Amino acid sequence: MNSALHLLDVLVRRWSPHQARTLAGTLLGKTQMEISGETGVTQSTINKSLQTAFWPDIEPILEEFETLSLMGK
Amino acid sequence: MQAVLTGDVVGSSGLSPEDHRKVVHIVKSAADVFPDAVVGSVDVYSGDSWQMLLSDCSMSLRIALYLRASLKREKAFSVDSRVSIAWGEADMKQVNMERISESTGDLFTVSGRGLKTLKKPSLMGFSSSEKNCFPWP
Repeated sequence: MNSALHLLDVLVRRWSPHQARTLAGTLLGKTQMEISGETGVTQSTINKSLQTAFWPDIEPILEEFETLSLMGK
Repeated sequence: MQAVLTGDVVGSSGLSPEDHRKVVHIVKSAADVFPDAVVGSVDVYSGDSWQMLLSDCSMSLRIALYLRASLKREKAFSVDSRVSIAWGEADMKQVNMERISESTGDLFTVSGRGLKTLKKPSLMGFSSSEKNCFPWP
């Protein structure tokens, strides 16, 4: 698990303030439209920010971590 | 299963007192953002160190990432945090609800040790106080 977390950490360390703002909302389960409404940033910019922040690579790791933790209970 | 997150803010030494207060507020506010997961409050100690007990370990990585995103999003200072994630069972009789960082027991020990053994440049690590508590090696 630490290998996966280490790779995840490499991606997280590269988040810019703008990307981190988008990711904070996404991690709370907010949609791109909701984040757009709150921040005034266009949905396409939000989408681009998620892509460049490696969210498509991070989300499956996060979901697997959460699924496995539920199995381990 | 529960989890203990132990961390310290990276890059906080150069912050102004006002920005430092903002950082502490961001870290502590995790308890308000995740009220169902964070037990009691987030304990901040020694200026830039923090610890929280989670009732549900499945939330541990999400909360760790959210906390780091919340710190990194601030353009004025954009600090980050090291985070040690530990899973296990906390003996609630050993938990100090007023000061989580003064709690005792294996789960707190393992989480604290995990932070000390994090190797640069890594800012995030995982450990467990329970054997065979999760289905992967």
